[in-house]
Formats: sequence, structure tokens, C-alpha cells
Amino acid sequence: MNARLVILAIALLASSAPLVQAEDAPVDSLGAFFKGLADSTDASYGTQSVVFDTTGLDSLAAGALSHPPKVKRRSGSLQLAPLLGYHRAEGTIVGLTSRIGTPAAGWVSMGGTYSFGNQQARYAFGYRRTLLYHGLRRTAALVLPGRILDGATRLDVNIEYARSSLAFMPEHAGHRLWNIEPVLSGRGSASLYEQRGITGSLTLWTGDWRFVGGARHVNEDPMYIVTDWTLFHAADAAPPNTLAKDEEFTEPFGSLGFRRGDWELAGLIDARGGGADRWRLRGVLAKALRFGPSLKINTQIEAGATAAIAPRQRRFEIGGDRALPSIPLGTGGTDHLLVAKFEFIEAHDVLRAIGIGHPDWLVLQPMATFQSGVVWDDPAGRDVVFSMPPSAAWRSSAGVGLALRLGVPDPDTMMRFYLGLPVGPDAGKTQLRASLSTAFDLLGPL
Amino acid sequence: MNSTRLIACALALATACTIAHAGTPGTLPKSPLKGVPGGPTLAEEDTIPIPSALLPVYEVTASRVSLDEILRRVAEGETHRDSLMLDQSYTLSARITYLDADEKAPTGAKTRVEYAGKVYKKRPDKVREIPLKQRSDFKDQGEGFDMGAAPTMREQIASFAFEPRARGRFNFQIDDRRIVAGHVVYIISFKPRSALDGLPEGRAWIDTNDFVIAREEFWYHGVSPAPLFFKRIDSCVVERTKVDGKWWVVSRILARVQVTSMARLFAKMAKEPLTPTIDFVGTQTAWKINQGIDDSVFVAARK
Repeated sequence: MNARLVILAIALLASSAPLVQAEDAPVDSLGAFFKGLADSTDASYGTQSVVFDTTGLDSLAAGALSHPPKVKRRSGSLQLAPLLGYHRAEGTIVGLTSRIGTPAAGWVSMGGTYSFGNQQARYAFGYRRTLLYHGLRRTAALVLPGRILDGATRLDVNIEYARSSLAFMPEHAGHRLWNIEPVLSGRGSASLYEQRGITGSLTLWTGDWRFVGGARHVNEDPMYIVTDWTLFHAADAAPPNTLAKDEEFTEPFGSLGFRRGDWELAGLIDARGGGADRWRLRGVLAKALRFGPSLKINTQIEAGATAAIAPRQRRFEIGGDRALPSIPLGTGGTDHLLVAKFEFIEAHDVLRAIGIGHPDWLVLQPMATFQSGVVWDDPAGRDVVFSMPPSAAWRSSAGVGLALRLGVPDPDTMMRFYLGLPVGPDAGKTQLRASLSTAFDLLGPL
Repeated sequence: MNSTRLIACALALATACTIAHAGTPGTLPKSPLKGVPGGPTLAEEDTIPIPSALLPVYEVTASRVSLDEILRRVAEGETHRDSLMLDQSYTLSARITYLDADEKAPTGAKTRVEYAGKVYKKRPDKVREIPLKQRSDFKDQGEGFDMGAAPTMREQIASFAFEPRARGRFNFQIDDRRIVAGHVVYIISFKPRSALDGLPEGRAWIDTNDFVIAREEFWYHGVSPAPLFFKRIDSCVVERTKVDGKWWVVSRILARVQVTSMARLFAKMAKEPLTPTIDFVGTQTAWKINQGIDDSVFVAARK
């Protein structure tokens, strides 16, 4: 009898279980629903990827605060990067750059190059520290210079002492080092001048905005052509290096930048002081427009003004692949600038479309460009920001070619190969161009 | 022991078990409206017999929740979820496996990195990550494999496509709608509006009780975020789990990346050869939320 009752009791308990399950079914079922999906994920990835070695992890985690394990780590390691370049005013350039530091102490950067042509050294010592950071990433983000990031606020201080070679119209000039164009052709690089001095600045990124304010005390000197060697066009004489005005000055500078990723809209106002004979103001407005799922137009408008008697190195030029590609760098040297630039990019892989086999990374997309711009001096020689450009001075270029999206370091970084064609009078000549830049290349990093 | 006692004992046990299970966290919350049970309510036929032969039949239509409304509520639900979290702690594990699984069954799998750490976070922006275990066979160990836990409770890896700022760049579609255990779960797929954006396509499982993303899968098949290095990303899976019956948190992230021949060439030059495929798996376990983490935990992090 007792045995029967025990069996009955067990049966009752067992029968109660489904009842309990029925009560609790909603929660378990939702869990089971997602567990089923997780199991199928496990199966598709395989045990070699999803199974962790958790031996001892629980006890390590429990004592993490009181007895943190000593895990061997290295931080603030010296990072060295080589520098290589060539320029008709410097010859062959070799050097190294490095950065060391921690998020708490800040980052010290050091770089130096030696130019075999003019037998001169260039160097820079910089210190950057983040004074304030609030945002998604902290430790990892502070290693790199700041950028406008959604939801992040950051304040950096920068101090640098440098002796550098700077390009005329630096916004259009492209990179001085690791630039193959000056090796290929003497026409492919901007003129340089020397600047030596100290610069200090504060930069604040908050929301979609970037504010920069600072001051510099520098000495600027002209540089001269030291070699005319190039791989191609060797028979052509290298164009002369435009001479800068020798001067020493102190100036405040500042800029206000805006970038909103979802609107694909960005803008920049860049101002430099230095008094009535040296001030300089430049602005860029950029917007991407989309037509259907596979066509995008990057539109940029750039305007600038400087003092009527500003030195040559502060004045505006219109040539180069970032402005009018059929016109050579160095064209201009005026106190006003206005450029409109339109770039059309289509999404399809050209090589695949025409049936040519290619490596998986070589996805070439068709592109076309149209640029129109003008550089001019105020006819009355006034020292003004706004001046009407003479209609006869407008020049235009067009371009057709291919774009290779690299995706690094910025998602929209592209290598472009295209033919720059003159449109209308006084627009230079057809030129083959290669450039590496982001969609809004007149803005620079924000 | 007599039989009556045994029966009483068995019944008591059964009852106790039933009550205990019914009272466990995770049962449907009570609705703030009196008389309304928690969770979704499905309409039932009226039990009053209606003489349909005598009365006209009216078809009543009511507007369903639109896709825009769902997307708006998901954004609100995610923000609400984030805003209620004051502090978190969890155990983070990560593993990187090199293998060859490019359109074939995985072969040659080799674990390159295994890492575990304990993460503490507190509003507004405090974070501390304590490495617990680290194993790697990379020649250059760099600065360690600190996963760089962010000082935020937001989980954008799950919600990126539904963020108000990103929503305009995707087309959304309701793929399916299921009732699972009193929860209406929407499966919503998303595709980038432009092929030029370098954005993924994918789908998300939305629990409409909380309007949070319970699971997400996305992939880059026809387009790569960095064509020079990534051929495609076969899949990235973000799994969330419910902690303490109310907090949806990321419990696991998996990604399978196919790398390009160019990336493999660069890696070979750097003497750290890459396989055609890389698997990344990260788990976040032992979650504790709003347990009142002391500020001294984070003071130590700044030393």
C-alpha cells in the first residue's frame, strides 16, 4: 500500500509539472524561441569558434576588484613610421615619425625628415592631451586625433614646435610626403615655403560641431628649386617654386566646422588674423545628393578672401585635382576665390559589368566631375571680404574616370583615376589625374 | 508514514511548486489598467449567440500599427532602456579564430586570441575594465586586447539601423510577425537605400512588449565596408537576453569576415599571415544591473 501511495505521490508531483509549465509557458517559450535561433547560429559558426575556455573564469571574475589578476600588458609603446617623399625644392626626402604616450598623460609626437636636395632638416615636436571627454569610446579613441562623433564631446590642447615645408594654397595641395605625383611629373606638386615656430591651440568637438582656437608665432622663408628630375616630362623644365615673402609674425587663428552624417552636410569657416595686411578667411559648404539607389553627387562650394596686400603664401590658387584639375597648381595668387565642384559617382562595378575578371578588392566605380571657379583681385584694390568676381575670369573643367573606394581611414576615402578636361577658354589642358581623398576633399578632416 | 500523510505531502509539494513557479520573475507583468491582463490580448468570439440571419454583419476595420510607428517606438524603447540603467557589471569574453570558411565548410580553425575581462560601468561616464585572462599567439601583442568597453549603456551594435539619425539611410520592411508566449515579436528587415553608403543589410527581432531589439543579424554581401581589406562579412549576429526579467542586454556577438587577397598579402608581408576567414565571437555574461556600484571602483581605474 505504502509503495502504491509513494508511486501515486510521485505521479501527482509529475503531473503537477506540466501544470506549472503551462503557467510559466509564456516566459520559457520566448526564451526557447530565441534559444532556438542561437542554436542555429552556433551550428552555422561551428564549435571551433563559439566554445570558450571558461576554466577558472568565475572565480577570477568574483575576485576581480579585490584581487585583480596580473595580466601582462603593454601600453604607451613607441610607434615608428617611415616618411618618404620627393619635391623639386627639396629633392629626395627621408625620415621617421613617432608617437608615444597614454590617454592620461597625453601624447608626444616627434617627427623628422632630411632632404638631400637642399640638405636641410625638417622636424616637429608636438604634445596633445585630451582635457575632457564624454562619449562612446574613451581609451581607444584618445590615441587618435579627435573627430566629430555622434554623442561625443572632447576638448584637446595641442602645442607644437616645428620647422616645416608648407604648400601654397594648402587646402588644394594634397600630401607633401608619400605623394607619387612629384616623382612622376614636375607639374604635380604645389610650391613650398619654410615655416618655423610654435603653435598652440584648443579644439572642442561637441555634437556635430568643431571649434578651434589658437595662436602661433612663426617665421616664414622662401624655398628655391634644387632639382628638375622627374620620371616623366624630364625634358620639360620643372616649374619654378613660387617664392614666399620672408616675414616673422604672431597671429590668432580659429575655425568653426560642422558635419552631420545623416544629412550628408558639412561646412567650415576658417579664419586667420595677423592684422590688416595678413588676415585670411575661407569657407566651404558641402552636401551629398542622391538620385536613386546607385547615383550620388558630392557638391562643394568654396570661397575665400584675404587682405589686399597679403603675402603670396596666404593668397588663393585655383589649380589642382581638388579644385580645377585641368589647371596646374600655382595658378592664381589673388585675394579672392570662388569654386563650385560637383562629383558624380555611380555604384556599379565597371569591370564586372563589362565582363573582365578582377581581384575581389578592385571594385572600380564610374565617376564624372565638373568644376567651375574663379580667382581674382578686387578691382578697386579694397581690403574686403565680399567682392564681385569678374565674369570673364571664370574657368571650368570636367573629368571622367573611375573611383576605387578604399573605406580606410574614412569610410568614404576613395582613390580616383580620371581625365581632367578643360571646358571653355583659359582652362588649361587635358591632364591625367590620380588622387586619394574623401568625398568632401575641400573640407579636410573635421 | 501513513498513506494520508503521504498524499497530503505530495499535494502540498505540488501546490508549493506551482506557486513558486508562478511567482518567479519573468511572468507577464500586470497591466496598469484594472481588469486587463498583462501582455497582448487576442480578441475572442463573443459567447452571446447572435442571430446572424436577422442582423446585418458589419466588418470592423482598425488601423494596424504602421511600420513608421514601430520604428519610432523601437527608437523610444531603446532610449528608455538605456535611460533606466544606472550601473552595470558583466564578464566579457572574446575570441578570434582564423579559419578557411569561404563558401565551404570550415577547415583549419586556429584560435588566435582569447580574452576575458570584468567590466563595470556607471552613469554618467564611468567605466572600468579589469582583464582576467588573455591568450594570444600574435607575435606583436601590442597594447593588450583591452576591448575598450565604452562608458555608455547604449548598445548601438544592436540598434544602429534604428537610431533616428541612421533610419533615413535604410529601407525597412516587416518580414514576419509572431506571437510567442504572450509577446508579439516583429521581424523587420532593413536594406541600405544607396549602394554607395557601405552599409549592411539585415533583420531584427523586435519584442513589442518593451519595443526593444531582442536579436539582430546583419551582413555585407554585395558591398564591403572596406573593399581593400574585407571581401564581405558573411554574417554578424547580435543576441540579447533578458536579465532580471526586465533588462534586455547584449549577451553575444558573432561575426564571420572574409578577407581579400590584398589584406592577406599585407599580412604576409607583416609576417602575421591571415586565413581567408576570421571569426569573432564575444560574450557578455554574469550581468548585474543597478546594483549600486561604488564610485571607488572607478577611482582605482584612473590610477
